[in-house]
Amino acid sequence: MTEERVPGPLTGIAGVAKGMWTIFKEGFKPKVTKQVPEEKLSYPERTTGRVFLNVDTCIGCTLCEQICPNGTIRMVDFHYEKSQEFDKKYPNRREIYPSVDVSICTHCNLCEEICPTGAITLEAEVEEVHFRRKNTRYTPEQLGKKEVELWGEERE
Amino acid sequence: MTLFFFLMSILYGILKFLHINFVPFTYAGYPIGLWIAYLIVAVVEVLLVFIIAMIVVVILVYVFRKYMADVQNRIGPNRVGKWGTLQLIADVFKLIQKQDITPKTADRIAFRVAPYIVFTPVVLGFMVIPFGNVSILNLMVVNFNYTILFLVAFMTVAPVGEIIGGLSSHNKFSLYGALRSAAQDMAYEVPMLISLISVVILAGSYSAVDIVRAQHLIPFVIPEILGFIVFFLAMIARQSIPPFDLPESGSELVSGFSTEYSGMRYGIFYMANFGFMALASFVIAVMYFGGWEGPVFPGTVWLIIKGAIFMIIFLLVWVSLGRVRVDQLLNLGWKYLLPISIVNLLISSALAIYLTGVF
Repeated sequence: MTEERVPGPLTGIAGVAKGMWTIFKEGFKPKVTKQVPEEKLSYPERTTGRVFLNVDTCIGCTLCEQICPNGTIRMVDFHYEKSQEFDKKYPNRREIYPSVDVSICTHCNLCEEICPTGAITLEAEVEEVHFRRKNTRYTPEQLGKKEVELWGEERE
Repeated sequence: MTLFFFLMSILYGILKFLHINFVPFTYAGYPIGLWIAYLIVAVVEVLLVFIIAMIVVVILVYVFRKYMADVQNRIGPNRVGKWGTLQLIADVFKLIQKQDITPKTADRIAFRVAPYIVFTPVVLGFMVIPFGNVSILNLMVVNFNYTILFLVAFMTVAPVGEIIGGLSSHNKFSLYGALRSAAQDMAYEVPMLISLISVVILAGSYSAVDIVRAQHLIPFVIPEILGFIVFFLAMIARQSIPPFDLPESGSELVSGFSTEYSGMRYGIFYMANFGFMALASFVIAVMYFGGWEGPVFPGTVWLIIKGAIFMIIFLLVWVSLGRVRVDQLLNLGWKYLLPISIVNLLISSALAIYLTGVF
């Protein structure tokens, strides 16, 4: 036997008062809106933004190229003199490194998960500005830098 | 000759403002030679009231949008003018630009007249609010002994405009809105009138000025707390704001009686809504919280403070509560508010008789 509970009128009034008090307190909290042209949006640390590559630890295993669902990552020939220490620990004999087309990247995070040495990471970097479509494919060297550092480069 | 009439009218206006009855040519109490003066004075008075009402509406709409943004942690209008203060002006210009559509099957005359029937009484209602007293002056446009009857008449005319607008639109949503408006009016107006009558009994006068003067020591909210609650709920229902926004109810009736209205006719409905919110706040302040009475500050400031508090409370109710069902509102009106207001009437009558015996 379940007993039906019918709330009395005082319960309703108390509920209404509680709701209004909650809303009233909400009026004194700080705003969450950012006015975008004037203010900068902030992103959480774990945002999966642009692909970053640490050239020192990349071993050229092509796993990231194989897992990439839409051909964003493509291995390119690239000559880079690693230091003695990194060359011993992370050898890259074929001298191939990933390049990333940021315009078609879906930020799916698969390359970061499959990378055996942790060379590829997706970080909270979302402001990618380009005037030519050919510039959207980043070289391994560019993948190591932040967007702010890249803005100064001549990329026509 | 025109100049003479103009000067006479200014003189007459000043005298009338000072409550001095000096009319040289009269017949049975009516001035004969001064009809132009009467006309000009009347026009100036109506313009004054209209300007006051418009200023209040503009401020209230701005405060409403800012406050609603506050409780939702947003910023609100902030682009037009400093802090978005000119947003309503921009909105009005936008509404004026829009096409004024009358549906093909609508009852044309009634459809076009309905917004003015809603809006005009709200503006006229501001005439009888005493905005303070400077020595012998009561800052009100019309002052006679039956201002409360005047006010009640205007408060109850406006829903008729909503019903006309809904019925003449020839749209099923508008029809539902109009029917709900009619049911809602009958549910809250009887308790509202009875609680007003209790105030009148306690004050012993129909005049708003006398009612305020009677609250010099104790505001009427203390002996008439029940009547105040009834009147407050009735005012929420009259404004058709949540939780009692059944005639408009955006989500289920597509804004009810104003579905077919576009452009400035819709804008008039919108402004009338906010105008009545301001009017209701001032009426509550005058009836139950002593109007201009208060220490230190001048009377006008006190009335504006009291009115502003009630406007904020109305806005808080608007943004925080959900809509009730039709049957719940009718139950509230007929089963609870009406008996409570009658009990309040009995209490205030007994109090009035007792006080008359004492003094």
